[in-house]
Amino acid sequence: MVKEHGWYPYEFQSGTTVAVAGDDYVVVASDTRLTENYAIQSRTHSNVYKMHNNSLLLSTGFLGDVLTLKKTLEGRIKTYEYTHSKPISTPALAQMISIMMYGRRFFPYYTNTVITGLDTDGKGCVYAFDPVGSMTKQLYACEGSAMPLILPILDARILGKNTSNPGHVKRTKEETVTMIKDIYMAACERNVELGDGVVIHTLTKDKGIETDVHPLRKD
Amino acid sequence: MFMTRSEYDRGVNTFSPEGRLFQVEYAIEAIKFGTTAIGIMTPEGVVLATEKRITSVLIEPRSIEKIVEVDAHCGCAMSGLIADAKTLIDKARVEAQNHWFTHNERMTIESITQAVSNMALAFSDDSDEVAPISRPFGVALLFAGWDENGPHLFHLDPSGTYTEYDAKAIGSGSEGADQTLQDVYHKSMKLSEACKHVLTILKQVMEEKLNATNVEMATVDAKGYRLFKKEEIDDIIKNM
Repeated sequence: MVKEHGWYPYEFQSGTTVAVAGDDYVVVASDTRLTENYAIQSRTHSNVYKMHNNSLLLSTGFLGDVLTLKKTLEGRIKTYEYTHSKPISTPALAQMISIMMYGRRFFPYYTNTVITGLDTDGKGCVYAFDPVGSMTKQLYACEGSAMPLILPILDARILGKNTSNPGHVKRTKEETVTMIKDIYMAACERNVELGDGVVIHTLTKDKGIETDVHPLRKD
Repeated sequence: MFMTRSEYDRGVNTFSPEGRLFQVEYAIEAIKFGTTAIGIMTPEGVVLATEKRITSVLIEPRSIEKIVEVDAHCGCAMSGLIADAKTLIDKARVEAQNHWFTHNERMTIESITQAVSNMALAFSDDSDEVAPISRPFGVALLFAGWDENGPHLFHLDPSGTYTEYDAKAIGSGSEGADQTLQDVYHKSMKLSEACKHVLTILKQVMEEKLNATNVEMATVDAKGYRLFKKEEIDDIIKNM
């Protein structure tokens, strides 16, 4: 048997993100564990990045790519502001991220990215991307290592999917925060890459960003 | 020539000792030979109108185009060396499309004007340099459009300076037209009223008698850019 050794430039470093859009808010969450294989590199690394225009970037995958994407975006957001004398809106930023990612179609950033914020009417919006920039606007999103565990729960809890009672359940931002916290506590019992803590940010037009931190199991 | 202006009006990128760029100033003068173009901004939208000089009965009037669409929400009227405008309009169109492509939103009229103004001083007479043109552009533009902040009218001159106006005229009849605009303009003007005013003012400053074939008119409102048909212009002329 011939064993091939190739150069592999990527590493999956875990992290689980959740975003939920409401009528006048958006709630985002990330666990704080950063791994490399079965080693824990950090217990305090959040995958939520506050952008200059008040959008929140959620990005997991390979940290090197995540940080480069974030840094490039910060530059582009400022350039937009200087060129057009207005802050970039979250929808306009989402489209820009999509184009940037597709520009690296053949050597992509290894990231699962979600951008969230409030649109011009103050309504929450969530855009999710695949690593090459395919974008969808969603009511909620979950990316990262525990996505297969959490996404069906969000499907059921938010849209009533695969339940006996289908339909969109609207929640206040407080109810959404509690729901997300419970989901992270449950998921960390079943996914070794998820743990240490969860940070939950609530973004509203009036109060800006409010942050909650909850500890999770550390083993 | 040599004595009066010294040699500082030769190089396009050379300041005179008094701190002037003569070639740019001459380019601004060139606009004054151009046909008149007028723009009026109203709360309902912006109107642009230009005169066409039909110097021979054998000219096909349709082939003279001085108002063009930049994007669905932005139009542009020009005066001066019309051929020079070609490069600038191309730039405006590319920038507007690129902005939509990258950000999925309409480019603001100010940003379009800004993008074009960046080209105005990008001339060079050095053959090693990659410049779009070897001398200043000899054309002035009026950008009219409707963006997220409503109607806008911007004037751009060959020096790259751009200014927003409620109403503005460029070209040979601009002095008289600007004066009349100041007299008739008011903030609550209807778009239909503005359409009538631009034609009336054009009529005053044009040498030939105004008719539906020797003027062009377009409006931009919330619905977008619209170039008037000959019959529509005829209707307005009849009611003047």
